[in-house]
Amino acid sequence: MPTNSTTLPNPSGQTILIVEDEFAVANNLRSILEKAGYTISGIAFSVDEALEMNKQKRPDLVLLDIHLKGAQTGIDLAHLLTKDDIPFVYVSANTNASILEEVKTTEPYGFLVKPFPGKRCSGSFRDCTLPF
Amino acid sequence: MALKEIHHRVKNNLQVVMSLLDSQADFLQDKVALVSHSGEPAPGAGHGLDPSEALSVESLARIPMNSYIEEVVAYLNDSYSLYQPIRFDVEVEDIELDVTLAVPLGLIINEAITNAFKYAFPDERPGRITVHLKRVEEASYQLMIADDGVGLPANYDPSRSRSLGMTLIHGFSRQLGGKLTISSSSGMCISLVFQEANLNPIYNKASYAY
Repeated sequence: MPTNSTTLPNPSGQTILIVEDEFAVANNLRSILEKAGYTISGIAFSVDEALEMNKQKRPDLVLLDIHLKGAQTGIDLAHLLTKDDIPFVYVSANTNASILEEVKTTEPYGFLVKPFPGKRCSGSFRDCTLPF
Repeated sequence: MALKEIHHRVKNNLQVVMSLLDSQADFLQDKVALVSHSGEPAPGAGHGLDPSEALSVESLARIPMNSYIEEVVAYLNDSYSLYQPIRFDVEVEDIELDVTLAVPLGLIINEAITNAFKYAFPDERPGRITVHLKRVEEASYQLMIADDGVGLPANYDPSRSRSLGMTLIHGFSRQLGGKLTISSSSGMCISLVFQEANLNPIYNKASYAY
């Protein structure tokens, strides 16, 4: 059955931070999410940038890649987000078993596997945000 | 290189390609009336994919920038046929860069030249597009794309532009950790100074990258 986006909960007012080291991917995610009614608080390439942006504006949700610019990873950031009570969803091409085990221990709201087609993701992000 | 590393790269690059296509499709949808009205051929989303040619190079690690940039320029020159002659002045020093720098640089060149073709030379004005890549210090480089066209409109602030091309140029510059300068006096000049060290070698990290 085709999903009718107008019948889904309105995400307006919810803010998302994108943490991703490929700008092309981050920019595409931004436009998909903005079209779905979310506000994007920023695009961070590294953990440090993400923390800085979260200080400026606390997001309702963080989308994070595992591999980022700099020494720290999305998993490192996930632990810090948990401390701050900010929910997160991984967006990664990473399917290595040992890393996925580590990912699980961070208890993410979701894990979106790359490559994902553009249209698919706004639905699953919306599902992720339903518990709010 | 381990097979699963290659697998990971392929998936990541595929995501970049799909993202660019999706962004381009968005943009075309917004512009669809304009494009079909003017009869102008839609700018092919494939342009954005051009730098992926670099990925067919046997060694994935280092890309010889002179032949790579020559190829990107030749491809764009063939894709846009303007009535008037547009001359290219391509000067690239003997520089090899990691593929993680080469691809975003190729995409910046792609956007800058496409922009020049579309806006710099109206009314069959002949022109010249200059592309330079030079070493300014050890492991520090300058990419410059300039044209002798009409330049930016007086009230146009390139840092505030929401066009896809400008968004990508700014975004890829940030991704490279470089310093971007866009100026317009006689024609438009885009300069990016970047360091190789500022970019982490994305695929060299053993544990988390894959």
